[in-house]
Amino acid sequence: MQSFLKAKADKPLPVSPRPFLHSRQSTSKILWETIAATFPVILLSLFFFGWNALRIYSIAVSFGLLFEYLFQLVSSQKSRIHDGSTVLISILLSWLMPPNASFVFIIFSVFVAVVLAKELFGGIGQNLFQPVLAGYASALALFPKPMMVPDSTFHFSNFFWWKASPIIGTGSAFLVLICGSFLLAKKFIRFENSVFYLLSSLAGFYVMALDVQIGQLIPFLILVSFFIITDSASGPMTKEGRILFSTTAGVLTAAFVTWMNIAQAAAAAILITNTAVPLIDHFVYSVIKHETA
Amino acid sequence: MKKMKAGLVLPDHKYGSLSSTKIQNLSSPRFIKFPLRQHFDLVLNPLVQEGDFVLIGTKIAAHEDLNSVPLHSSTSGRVSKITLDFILIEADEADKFEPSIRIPAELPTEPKQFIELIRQAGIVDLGGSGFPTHLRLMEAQRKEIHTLIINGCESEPFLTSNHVLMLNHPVEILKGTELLRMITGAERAIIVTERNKTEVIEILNTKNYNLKLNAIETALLPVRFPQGSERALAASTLGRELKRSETALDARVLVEDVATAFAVYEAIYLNKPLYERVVTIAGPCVIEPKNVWARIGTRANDLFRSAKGFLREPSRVLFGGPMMGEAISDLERPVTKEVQALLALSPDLIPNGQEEACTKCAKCVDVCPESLIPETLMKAVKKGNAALALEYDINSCTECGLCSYVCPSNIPLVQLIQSGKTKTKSHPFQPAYAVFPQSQS
Repeated sequence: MQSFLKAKADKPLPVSPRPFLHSRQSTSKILWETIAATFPVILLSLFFFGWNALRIYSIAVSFGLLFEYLFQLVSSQKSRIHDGSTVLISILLSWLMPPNASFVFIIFSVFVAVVLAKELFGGIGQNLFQPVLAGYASALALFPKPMMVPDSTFHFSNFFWWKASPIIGTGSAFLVLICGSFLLAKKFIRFENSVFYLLSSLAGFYVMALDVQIGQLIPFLILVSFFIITDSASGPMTKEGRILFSTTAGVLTAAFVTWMNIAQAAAAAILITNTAVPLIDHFVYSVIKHETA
Repeated sequence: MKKMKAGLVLPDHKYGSLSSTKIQNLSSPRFIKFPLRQHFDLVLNPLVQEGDFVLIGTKIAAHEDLNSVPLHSSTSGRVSKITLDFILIEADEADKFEPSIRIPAELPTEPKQFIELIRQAGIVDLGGSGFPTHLRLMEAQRKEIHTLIINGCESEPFLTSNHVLMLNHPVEILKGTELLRMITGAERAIIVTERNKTEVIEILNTKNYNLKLNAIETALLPVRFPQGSERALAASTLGRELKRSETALDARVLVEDVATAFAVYEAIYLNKPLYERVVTIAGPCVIEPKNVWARIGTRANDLFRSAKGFLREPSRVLFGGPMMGEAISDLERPVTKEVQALLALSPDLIPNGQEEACTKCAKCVDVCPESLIPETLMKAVKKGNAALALEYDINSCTECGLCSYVCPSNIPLVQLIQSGKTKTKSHPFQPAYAVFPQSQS
């Protein structure tokens, strides 16, 4: 194309700031791939709980998208319901529901999660609190029915196959672990969050020598440590910060189990630790990173 | 040698220009244009007049300031135009050399004389910064450095100019390295490359077997961007991270590019000024990617023509690598001493996404070689909060471009941090860091 070299002389070439390469990752691509990673667990919960699970998923996802669409319509923003973040929040929220969750309970928690915890804080990425837990905790506060009924018949095989699981997400903690490992391998979530939350909460239970059966808490803790606490927007930016954050949340979870059931304890612990995230970020940078590069 | 922890393995795209490891010599283009503006915003004074006849290596412009380096003609011909900004020379295709370019009768003995020869040869850092080499050498002497690192990493995608230079001229580079080591008084010199250039290390070791320059070592590092930056190399060699306020020279390590070592060899042993350098012409839009000896002052379109032109219309034409280079708007722009490559990139490579909200995914924090938090810097700059930006060490950013590269929300982090740096210049809480230019390739 020799002519191009001559023809171009009078017309300036396009310029842009550097760099001139891009990793070709996008936020919505990451979110939709995360949603794809939740599918095995969704299928298993549909198999275990049938219509109840289908009802919860469809109500949560459709109303979540509806709330987001309406909020963005009212606040005259460009609609971004296609980016997958609301779908992911709704699915994760559904996992925390008991199979007999009432219509009002689901809708209220989805409303708080999507509108109050996410959109009012400025949309995707701006949330101070983990939206799933914010929605779940406020619904629990309003409808104080015991949500996690302790099951005395839990034994080790229930780690793989738990038909009597109190919430629809923990039908197989093993499957949740595998899906979470996929996210870890894709680097969508950070191992510091998952590992340190799991270990510190278990260590807390062990130290306090509670008389609850630790085994039946493990499926829930796995679910929280791979899919809930790993929300990037409400967590710290640095590796050291994530370790501090998850360890604190784990210890608090163990402490709160003394007074409440595991779901309430985890929600309260993580939401409280969320408020400390800006402090943790600042602390880690000023103490560890400021001097050494 | 310690591996660097941060950074990223980038797609290397180097195969195109490595289809031949020869460095092609080009005939002189008809017109050669020398910009007179130099580092530190010095404008050189022309030493020739319109209509004068010049030869290859004739000094055509200089400045009395000791921070400046003179400029030499890269072709023989007639000076056709002189303005405030540039000198234009029309080549006569005779390619006659200045008679002073010959093997000198005797070499100087004092390091000071060597440094003056290097300045007179017009040598600057050829690794991308264009900072005058004699200033760096004098600074290194003053700091009494113990290690000289010759940087052959070339961790940027597409660039192969240092690779082919090391393949073709290993002895010259070894001798140039030994010269630089003697001038700076370093105890040892290390020639460093990345693992994708293993054969280079073999060749250098073999040649050094006969030369017996025992103070020169060679080392391999993993392929990782930005391993070729001054700070990353100093940290790898010292086996510890540098402090924020510490430059590589403060840690008594000098990093020079292999192309600079080669130019120093030619300047001392052949009395040849720096009027040509190896330039990679590559990119998916170039028909025949290759490495050439480009005369300083050759215009971009002449060089692209030597690579048989464009396959299709490029969406960006770059001087330098894709991470740290610069997009040019005009194909008439001449190649200067610090340009390592001319790239023509296609639309499937360049960033094309819409900027979205940050989700604090912390990918930028993971890759940042300076352990900064680009997300916080970006927010500080967007809010105009200079104090916050300085608290989070905005001036430590080396602008390697990795944060923008990984950002899934397509936020132009480097651009924002760059603008933040200029805005915080006048802020009273400026930390007293000596900002020394980084060589990066």
